[in-house]
Amino acid sequence: MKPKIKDIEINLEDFNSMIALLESILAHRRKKPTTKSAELFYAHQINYYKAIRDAKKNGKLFVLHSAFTPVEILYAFDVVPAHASFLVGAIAQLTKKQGEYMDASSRFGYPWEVCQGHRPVVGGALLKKAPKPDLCISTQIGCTNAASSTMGLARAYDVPIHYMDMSYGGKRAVDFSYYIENLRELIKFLEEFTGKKFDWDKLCEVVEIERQIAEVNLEIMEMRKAVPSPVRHRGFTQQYSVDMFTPGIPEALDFFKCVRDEIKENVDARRGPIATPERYRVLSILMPPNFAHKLLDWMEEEHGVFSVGEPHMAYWPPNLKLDPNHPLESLANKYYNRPMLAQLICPAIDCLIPDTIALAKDYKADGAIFYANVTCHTSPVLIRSLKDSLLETAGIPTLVLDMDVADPNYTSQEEMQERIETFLDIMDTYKDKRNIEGRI
Amino acid sequence: MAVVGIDVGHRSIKMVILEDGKILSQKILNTAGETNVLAKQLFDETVAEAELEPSRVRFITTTGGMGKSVAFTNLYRTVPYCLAKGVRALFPQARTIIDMGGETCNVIKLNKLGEIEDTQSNDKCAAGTGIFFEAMAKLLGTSLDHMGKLATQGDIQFEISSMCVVFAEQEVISHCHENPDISAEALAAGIHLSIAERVAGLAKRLGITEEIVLTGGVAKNMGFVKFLSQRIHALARVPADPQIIAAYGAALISQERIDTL
Repeated sequence: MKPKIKDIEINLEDFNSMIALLESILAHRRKKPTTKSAELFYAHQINYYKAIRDAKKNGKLFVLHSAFTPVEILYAFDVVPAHASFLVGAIAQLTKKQGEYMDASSRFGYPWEVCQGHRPVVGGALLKKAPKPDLCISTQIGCTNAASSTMGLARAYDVPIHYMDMSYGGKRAVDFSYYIENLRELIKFLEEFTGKKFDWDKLCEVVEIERQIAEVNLEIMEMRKAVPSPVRHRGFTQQYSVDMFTPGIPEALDFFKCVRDEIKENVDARRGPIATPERYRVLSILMPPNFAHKLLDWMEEEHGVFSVGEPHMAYWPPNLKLDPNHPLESLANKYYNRPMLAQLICPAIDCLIPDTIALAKDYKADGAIFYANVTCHTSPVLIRSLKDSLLETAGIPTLVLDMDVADPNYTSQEEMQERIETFLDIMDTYKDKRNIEGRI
Repeated sequence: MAVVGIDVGHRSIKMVILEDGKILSQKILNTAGETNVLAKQLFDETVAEAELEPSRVRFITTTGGMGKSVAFTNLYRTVPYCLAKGVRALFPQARTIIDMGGETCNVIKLNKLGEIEDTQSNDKCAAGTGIFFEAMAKLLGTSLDHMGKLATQGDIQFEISSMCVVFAEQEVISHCHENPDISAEALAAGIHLSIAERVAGLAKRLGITEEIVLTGGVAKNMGFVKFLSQRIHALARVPADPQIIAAYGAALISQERIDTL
């Protein structure tokens, strides 16, 4: 039977616990400061989740969307957006209820094979743990689970859903025109749904902020070439989240400017972000497990392993140009080039592989860690090509870290640490080899 | 002065004492209890067996899945690193190590200098590990050693398609029902061939370079060695005590450490 969840049935106890936990982390950060950007990050997360929680109370339209939906359009419409997978995944993760949410998803018919990054989403809805949206928007991209889980969500809540599409192929004129047509259809749909006219001036403002964010990111990328690495290993996960959740808002721009200034300070002082000296520079390919960000801290603190480039999460191509006077074209340019999406919808041979090789060379990487999510249906096919290409062209080895992005029962943090420690020896072997060959 | 290497695996703890580059004593203890206590017990027993004063042990290196939980160690190194050390000391031309322990299977590719180039592991299921063979021996009502010998004498009449130990058991039982006259030798051969196929697949992912050395408890199973050699089209060499190679490598690392002190 088709479930119909009413607003009155929603229980926000877990949601509020998650916000309370984030607030306690922020309070701890303020009491024992590390960096200003870390504080801004947690404040940003709290504000994001509070806006979602209070959307109805504030009379705002609330939209749950899949990954890579052009949130800028929603902001221009004064809508409160929420990234469905991140929202429900964060509630499950931070309240340690992944098992409960996963079980509920299974009862809905989502098997274990569905990517764990997206599987809890419908479970959270069925358990009535996430606020009920007014509508859902699903963007069809290479990651089919992202789009499909939003479809399940709309069914669970019994709310309308609008589908957007991105063509697979690359950065061709035909792809851009097709995407722009999809953006126009989204705007038309929202106008009909709300009965309000779209605010084009507001969109231009949002795109202008996003233009500045893109520029700051390019500055960050340039400065990250410095030795030692001027940024903490886990920094890229925070940057990725902020642009994914809230592109084009002033708070996001402030965060990126703060990150840039902190990096500049370290580069000017020729120092790393922590006391442990840099020993290994690695590329991080795809997403590290969301239950083990401490793994990233352990790598840098115990072994001096710093992530210097992340082709999927923090790679902004130098040719990315956004123009607020041409907002839809700019969004097409951005979404076909932004981290993660570019790697998913463009052929690897044209995008991911050459970009990763360039990162390996330009950022003097000693190795790459491929976070191989066992339930991902799109990325594992790339492993061999990427691994061979990095070895043949840049002379660096790749660790394929089999893990489940959300479930520590598949590979625990301790097991991953063991594999990483073996990889340090492998990186040493290849470092010696590159030295002998005169490549370092 | 003596040095020690201890390999703390999931199923057993192995220890080697070296003095002047020679093995003074070695011992294996099956684990069923608190790792740190068992490791200390093994240390005391092995040192006593070697008639060595504990104070003469200058350096201890541990390795293995539980190696970090040993409180009295001086250094921890990963299993592939210790295996590479141990294997190259015994087989200087070794380029590929296939290590099959109680619950894990590792393939390690070495360069000409004996340094690790790449690794591949299967630690997610029992297939290709000691406990799989234990379960199968129990099913056939025989010992591990005997099952290995039976496998070398049997004709291949079937292969197990399921590598999950639970389903594999069911599959073997089904073969017995379908063919009540099937011999124990043929059953053992089918079981060993299937695992050899899987391990060979894992090794081929890295590319197999000779010389190949097989370590870990499963290397003592002559049936498995035969079928694996067939599947990788090369002779897999087996050390005299394949179970202690990681501990031996750890002891060599201890020796290197005190040599540089």
